[in-house]
Amino acid sequence: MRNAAALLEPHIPALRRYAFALTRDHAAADDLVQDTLERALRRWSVRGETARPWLLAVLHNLFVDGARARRRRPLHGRLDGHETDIAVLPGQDGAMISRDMLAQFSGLADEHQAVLLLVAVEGLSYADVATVLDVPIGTVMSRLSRAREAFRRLLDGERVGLRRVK
Amino acid sequence: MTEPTSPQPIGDDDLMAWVDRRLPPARQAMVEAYLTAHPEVADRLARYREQDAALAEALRAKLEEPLPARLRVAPMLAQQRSRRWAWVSRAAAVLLLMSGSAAGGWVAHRAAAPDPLQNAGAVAEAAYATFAVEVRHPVEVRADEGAHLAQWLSNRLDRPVRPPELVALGWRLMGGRLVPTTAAPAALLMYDDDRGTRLTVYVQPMTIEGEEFRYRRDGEVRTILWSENHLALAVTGRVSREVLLQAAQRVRAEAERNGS
Repeated sequence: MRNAAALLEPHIPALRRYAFALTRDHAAADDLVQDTLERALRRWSVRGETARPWLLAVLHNLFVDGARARRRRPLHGRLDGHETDIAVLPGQDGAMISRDMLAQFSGLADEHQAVLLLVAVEGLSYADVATVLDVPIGTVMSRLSRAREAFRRLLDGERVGLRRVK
Repeated sequence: MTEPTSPQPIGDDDLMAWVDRRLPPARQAMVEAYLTAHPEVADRLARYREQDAALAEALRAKLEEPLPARLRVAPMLAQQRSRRWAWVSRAAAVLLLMSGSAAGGWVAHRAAAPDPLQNAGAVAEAAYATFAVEVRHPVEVRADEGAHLAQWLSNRLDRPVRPPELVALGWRLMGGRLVPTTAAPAALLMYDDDRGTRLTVYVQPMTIEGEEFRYRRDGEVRTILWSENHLALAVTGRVSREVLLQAAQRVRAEAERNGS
């Protein structure tokens, strides 16, 4: 763990991006990333090549556990307060687009969001996505296909089949 | 499109891999041909590529944001080390305090009135007394059903429970059971060594703030009890203080590593 910083820090921007995309809340995203890193540091051996999917998996599970806990005892009413959660990104020109895009994206089921982010944004291999989500690779492929179609419909303004994932 | 000797039909997975530009070369030509023949599918896939790119673009700013200080790894690591050391030194202080005194009450680092943690200690001791002597049914679920054991206990305790690995200290996991408490159910994991000595690890979820460490001896049976992360943990056995402390430290390290 001597060079833990050198090993882990290169992955932090991607972790923050994934966490932010899931939570759409800057502070909550960094909380997730911090928990992920602390957990990683308690492990003895994180290998360089496998670090990223592994870190994403830890973060993903923390998010899912947290989401489950929030559903059990809702602290902040999260009925359909999505709009207020959507952050304005500190972008220069694309701020408007970004916000719109993420607002639409937040309409997808959690599982669809995760698979799209991991494949299309984080660029993980399908096998790594299967590891992160702890599902067979076939499930990754079918979920990805459904997620893309659901996203397309959302962007086209068709509001169908939300929050229903096989 | 009537190609009778076509090796493998085009699937959704091929289409997704096309969108992601990850098709193996052998498949690429087939999919391209298919898309030429099915322009509506080609349009749909082109849309997918566009929306993927737009999503990535929407999140680009986040990737380029400078890291906040609290996400720097080196200070985080230093803090973890000092926390671990604090626990060990607190444990040592309590055990030193105990070395002269008689058996009986709980020796705590921060003495407190009767409280949930103390109750957890009492249940842990009672569970040890009841089950460690049990010959035929020491556990409900045996260690050879490891995955089931962890899953079952996690479900009932409503949080991830993974039996700590103590083999390096000579303790083999025998299995585990549920233990009723006046609050939520707790878990008791049982270990034994080559001489048949048994050791139990007790885990009870509770809303308890801060970390505490306590020790108690009752005859030859010793218990180390502590709280962390909304858990009360106890290690109990008819073993020396040193052996018990080693096991407790190991349990603590494992609990930390596995998260909570």
